[in-house]
Amino acid sequence: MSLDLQLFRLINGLAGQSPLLDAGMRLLVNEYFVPTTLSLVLVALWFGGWRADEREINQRAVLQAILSLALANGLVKFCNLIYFRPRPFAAHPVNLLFYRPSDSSLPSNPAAVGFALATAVWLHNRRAGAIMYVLAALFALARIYCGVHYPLDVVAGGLIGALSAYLVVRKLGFLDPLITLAIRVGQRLYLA
Amino acid sequence: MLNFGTGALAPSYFLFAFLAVLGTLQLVAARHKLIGLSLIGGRRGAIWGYLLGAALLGGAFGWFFTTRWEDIFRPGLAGSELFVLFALASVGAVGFTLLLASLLYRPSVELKPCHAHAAGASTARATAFERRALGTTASACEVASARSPIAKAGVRLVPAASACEEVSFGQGQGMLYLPQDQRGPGPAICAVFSPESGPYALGLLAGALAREGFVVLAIGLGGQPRYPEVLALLPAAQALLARREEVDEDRLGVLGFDLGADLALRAASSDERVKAVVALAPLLQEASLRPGLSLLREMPYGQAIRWARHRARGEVLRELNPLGYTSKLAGRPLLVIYGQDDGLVPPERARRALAESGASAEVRVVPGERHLTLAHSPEVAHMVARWFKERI
Repeated sequence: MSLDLQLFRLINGLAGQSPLLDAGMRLLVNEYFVPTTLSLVLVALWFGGWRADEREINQRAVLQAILSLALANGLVKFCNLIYFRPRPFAAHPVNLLFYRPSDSSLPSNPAAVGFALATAVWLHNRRAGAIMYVLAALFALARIYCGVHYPLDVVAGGLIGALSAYLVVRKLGFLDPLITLAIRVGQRLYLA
Repeated sequence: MLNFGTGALAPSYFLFAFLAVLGTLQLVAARHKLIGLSLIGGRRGAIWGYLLGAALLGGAFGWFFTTRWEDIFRPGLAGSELFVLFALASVGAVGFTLLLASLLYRPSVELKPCHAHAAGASTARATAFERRALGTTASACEVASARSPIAKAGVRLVPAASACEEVSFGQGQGMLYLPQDQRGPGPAICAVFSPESGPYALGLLAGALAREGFVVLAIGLGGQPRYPEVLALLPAAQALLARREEVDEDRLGVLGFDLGADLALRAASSDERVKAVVALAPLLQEASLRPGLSLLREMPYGQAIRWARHRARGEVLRELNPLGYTSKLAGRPLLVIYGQDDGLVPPERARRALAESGASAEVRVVPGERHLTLAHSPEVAHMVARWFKERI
């Protein structure tokens, strides 16, 4: 039995033992709670900051997080085109606490989304980034706990998300003028 | 692909995101003192903003996840659909917040002129509350000042006793505040205010200075000041002061607020009669006129848009070039005061700019005050009065 499956069984095996833990994980696993919370952190970051320079760093982080999200989604779609891995519930008996998604299990798109947003922010703002990393990690863990992803899926998804953010923030310099333009327009409108 | 029609959750999610963003904005507004985003009117303490934000945020999450608990565990909205819905809800919530904050913050009392020595008899009749706050001898000018939109932005009232009269000089008009019980000629201050504020708007400060024994001539820049015409204002006002028998013309000071402070710096640099200068929140640089989101710390969005349309301010500031003239004050004392929360001119930036210009200015920062509230602060009034007393 692979390490991936062993780890999956270890984490998913906890499901059904504590109604409270199950409820918490079900809250985290769905597509609404964590993504919306992460998005609200981005809203707060956009308007937060005492000084103009501090605010501009935060706003750059927000725009780069959105671009990272788009890139991560694109990379996940590309992976799905060339490789399909069945979901855990399709191959093994699992404690399923979620509906049965039909797309490829690897890489995990929710993990890619969470880690893309968190990494893009973390590269600019450690405090907000750390909060987002915690949320992204809980999101990924809940996907395993509820039986819809293997650990390797979320690790791959997280790496794709983090790599996307790193590329957008550090390597794709040609996007900077676009980001700067968006912030300048926002400043003209007294919204940035 | 977007296909909201099949998603029964779409309207609920939109409302959830809308309310959650609304709550987040209130938390941010309370944390960063953004009046323009605050739905509590900007007058109450930040704690109310935090409470409202937490209630909206908690209510949104509680409502959505309790009423839609079963639905969210069925295949529903795709990620791209959620993204679009959240973006639309965010734009809607920001727009709604800006609009509602502007409506809630709109000044309810219009400034009205007052007449000489007409305490309680003019259009600015004091209410019982205002008499308690200002003192029974408060002039109509002081009452009008206390009711001004700026004074309503959480400003404490200064009890003061002084008389005031409207005066005209050259092309300008102003309000002359005279100390009571004055014996012989005394020191005088010419006070220049921002384009937006009339001569009554800073009556609290002028009244406080008059109470300390200064004759104060308060003049406004007019709604649309022009260069070089504005340069004639201060010399004409000082000539008027010099003619008054209550004034010792060797003890003249100049006080300015906002763009009026920039004019004061420029005018004093070439007028040897001015013995001391106090600049309250001078703009100094054109960068101050591009504050971005920080402007919402000073005023609601509707007012900010009107403020931005005031093109003359930028032209006058550029021509006045206050930083280029502060070093020419030639040893005469200069006090520059900023509010710690100034949304237009960050105090540290101003301090740096003044140091680089070679000016020997004493820069003080008053905690808890913004750009627009600075001139209404009792602490500033006392600070300015004490400073002038020691120098003129």
